[in-house]
Amino acid sequence: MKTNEVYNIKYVDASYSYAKKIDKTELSLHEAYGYVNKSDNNIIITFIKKKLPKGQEESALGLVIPDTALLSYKDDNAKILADFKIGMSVAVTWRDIVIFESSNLRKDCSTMYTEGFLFKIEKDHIVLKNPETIRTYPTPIKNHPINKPSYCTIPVSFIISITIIK
Amino acid sequence: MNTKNKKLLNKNNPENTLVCVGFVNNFKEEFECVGVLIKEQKDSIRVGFSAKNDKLVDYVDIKRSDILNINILNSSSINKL
Repeated sequence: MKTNEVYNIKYVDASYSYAKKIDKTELSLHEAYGYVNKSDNNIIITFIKKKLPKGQEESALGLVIPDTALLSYKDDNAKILADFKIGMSVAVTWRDIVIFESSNLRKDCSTMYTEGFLFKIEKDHIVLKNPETIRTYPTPIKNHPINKPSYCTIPVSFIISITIIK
Repeated sequence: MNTKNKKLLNKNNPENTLVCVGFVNNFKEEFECVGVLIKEQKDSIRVGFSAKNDKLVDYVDIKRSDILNINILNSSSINKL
């Protein structure tokens, strides 16, 4: 990938819901334009770049997404859910999308830890009820989001690990 | 061609108008962005970067007086991932 080439990317993201009840769930479709770099398993999309002296440039605004967020990614992660059933209390570690600006440049995704009850298991996402989420990377550890949601939808392709809480 | 004050959006064209815009901020630092030209007003333009379910999420409004240049991008030059 060349940093001066413009890319159009389509991807999925996790989401939170504050509704008391939810019925049909699906991953929302996101689309972005920008200059793209790849860093390990992260894709950095620069929306605005700052021109520096001597022809140098740096990102001023953009996103970092897991490479597994791309719609073109062939998800083979579904098997990690084989032993899980609706209603189980679980802990999920997953990678989250980050928006950055020049004062807080990022080259990798955040790592999130969510505990909750498995409310839905779909082909491409899971839904946790009464989720409690903390951002474990980068430090400092933070609650996320600030207001506690009723449901958290996580793309299966974002999941690093999932375990049952006893 | 200097297009910074020229009308670029064609409402009859169903395709997005993709632009690359060079501009400065209040400190005269130079920036460049690429995205979809969302709207044109007398004194400013809006360039969109991302959307969720076709609704605009991330964008920037740029004063026309801060624009250094605008180039329309050919959609065939856009790479896809």
